[in-house]
Amino acid sequence: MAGSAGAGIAGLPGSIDPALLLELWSECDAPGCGVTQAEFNEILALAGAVHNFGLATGAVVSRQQQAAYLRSLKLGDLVLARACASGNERAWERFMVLYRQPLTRAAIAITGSETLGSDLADQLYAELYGLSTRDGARRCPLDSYRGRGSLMGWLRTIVAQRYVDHHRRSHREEPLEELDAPAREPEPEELPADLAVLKQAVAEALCGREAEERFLLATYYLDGLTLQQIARVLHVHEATVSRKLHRATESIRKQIVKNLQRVGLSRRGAEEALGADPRDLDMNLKKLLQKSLPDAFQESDAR
Amino acid sequence: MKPYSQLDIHPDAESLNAFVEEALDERERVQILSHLAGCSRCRETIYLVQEAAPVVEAAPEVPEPIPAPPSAIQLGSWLTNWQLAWIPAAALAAILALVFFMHIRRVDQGTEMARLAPAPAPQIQVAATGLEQQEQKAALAMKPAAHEAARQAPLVNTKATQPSMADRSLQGDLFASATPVAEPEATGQVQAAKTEAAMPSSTSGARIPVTDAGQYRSGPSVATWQQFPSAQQTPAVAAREAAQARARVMADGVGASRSQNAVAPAPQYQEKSVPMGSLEITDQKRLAGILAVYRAKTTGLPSGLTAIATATAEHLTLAIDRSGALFRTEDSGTNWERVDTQWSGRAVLVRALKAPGSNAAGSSSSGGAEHGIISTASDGASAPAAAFEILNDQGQVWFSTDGRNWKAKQE
Repeated sequence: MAGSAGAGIAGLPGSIDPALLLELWSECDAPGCGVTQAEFNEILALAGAVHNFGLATGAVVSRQQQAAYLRSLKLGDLVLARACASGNERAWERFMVLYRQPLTRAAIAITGSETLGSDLADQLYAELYGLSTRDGARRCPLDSYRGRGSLMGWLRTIVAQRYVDHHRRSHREEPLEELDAPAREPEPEELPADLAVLKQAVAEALCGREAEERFLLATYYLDGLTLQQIARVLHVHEATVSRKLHRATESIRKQIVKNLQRVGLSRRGAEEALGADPRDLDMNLKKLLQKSLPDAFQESDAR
Repeated sequence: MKPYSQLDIHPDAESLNAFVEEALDERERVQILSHLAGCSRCRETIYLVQEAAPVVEAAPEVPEPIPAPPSAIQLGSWLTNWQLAWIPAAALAAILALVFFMHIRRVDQGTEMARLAPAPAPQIQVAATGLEQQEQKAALAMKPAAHEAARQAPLVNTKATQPSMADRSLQGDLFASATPVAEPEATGQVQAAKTEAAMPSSTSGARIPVTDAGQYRSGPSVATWQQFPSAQQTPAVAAREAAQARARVMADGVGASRSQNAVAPAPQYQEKSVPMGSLEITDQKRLAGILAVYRAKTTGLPSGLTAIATATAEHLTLAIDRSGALFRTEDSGTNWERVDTQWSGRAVLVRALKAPGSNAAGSSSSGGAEHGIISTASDGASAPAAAFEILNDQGQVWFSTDGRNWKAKQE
């Protein structure tokens, strides 16, 4: 039995405690999906190695960290997905029983159209089954599932991504793109001097914001989500979102005032400049929120 | 650096799903958030996933408590948790204190009434002469008859002889009138058809009709009067009531023989109905006095100064401020009227006392009005309800019955 030895993959750091592998093996119904213990060990080793057991790349992973990471995985879903990806018929039967109807319903809910949702779900089934090939090899998206989060959630995310991409491809000429494209730069010569100073101060104030603050500003001001919707995304209470948003805007305002004072304005002048035209400030916020991100996060069409 | 933090690369579906399902550690979560802040495609994706997910999976969590050091939790949390509770707790304590205070005052009053209740009978005998004595004898002769009637027919008129609270409050003055002889026309009539019962008189054995509530209201008997708590009669009151009784006897010429046909109310009625009306009136006046005193001592008087001495009797409250000015109010301290100085020196003390010719007894500084209800109910405006004294800084005393006009009191 292969489980007696620590699992490891050539080229990937670390080996997993055999006792842990045996324990995890006994907890999930891998044989029911036609997966052997050796295959199970390899699946876990790969799942852990891809994300370095949840740690930063290059970090040394202890046995405890390995155990904690592997125990956090959805092992049943992971085994089923990998068994399906390897073409195991028993696994496919189980997959179809468990996920076909829910996935179709999710696709209809995401697209808002029964026809489009069903088409999207069927297309995804075809891909999952490995009908598509690349370089002559059978290719299955389930290979990329590593067990972090549920398999059903992963499937929903795949459907959502494809629907968004489908929508973008078919609606390029519509104003939706304005959300993505950077706001048009005003003509420099038309920009008043005081507004240029204000713009620079706002840009500097936004650059140092934390990721969560920028996410809140984007969801609330750019996407127009309600506090309740944002709270659902972040799994926090609605009041928490409200408080953080208020704190973020206040902090940005203070930072802008400081920036304006640094370039020579008095505090009163800075306050007046900040409150002179809220619409300009709002437009600047909308634009600079995207521009404030590092280049690595700049969005472009992935397709 | 993660793949999704590279240019032109989005987080994979697993990372986004793990973000939605909170399966990422803080480091990866921040990376995803950083990407989401600038990527509307991925934001749209997670919005759609969130919307499509079952509600039970996306139930919002209760906000996490703010972490604090253990020592701060032990010491600070108690105070912190009680900060908002202080307000209703204080209000509740104030209400309880007021209720307790009112209860104590009522119990004290009831105790005093009970102690004074047996007193009227000998007082009346002392005060009454001639026809009065005959009336007293007749009235006293009614008592056994009434008790006998109640004993023999206890169920016939129990309900009828227990008027409602409204009846009792409306006729508090009649209860207090203490008419020793029942009205002649009230001794029969309607009740005979309904509730007439054989009630042997103690003297003649005649049939005495059992009273009902309406009859009782028209003229309570001596038995009622004797058990009336507010009948803490002083000799003056007893004499006044005896005079009323004499006048009625002389008017109808019935005399003592009528006592054989006198109405005999049930004892239960007397015990339950008597105190209610007077207590309600007393409470209102007491509260008005308390309120006036409270206002004088807290919010101050029209002079801008707070009161150093107060006195309350009936509906009237007097207060002396720190400058020696006297103010009076009849509306619980809402409006104060300054009284012209009619005394020498500086007034330092005001007190309420029993007015001449009345049973009223006021209270000084404590804000309570302990005077009896008789002066209000039966005497009406015939005698002043209260009297006040002012003491100046030289020990001299001035006297007034209305708080406006003061006269030097002769020793």
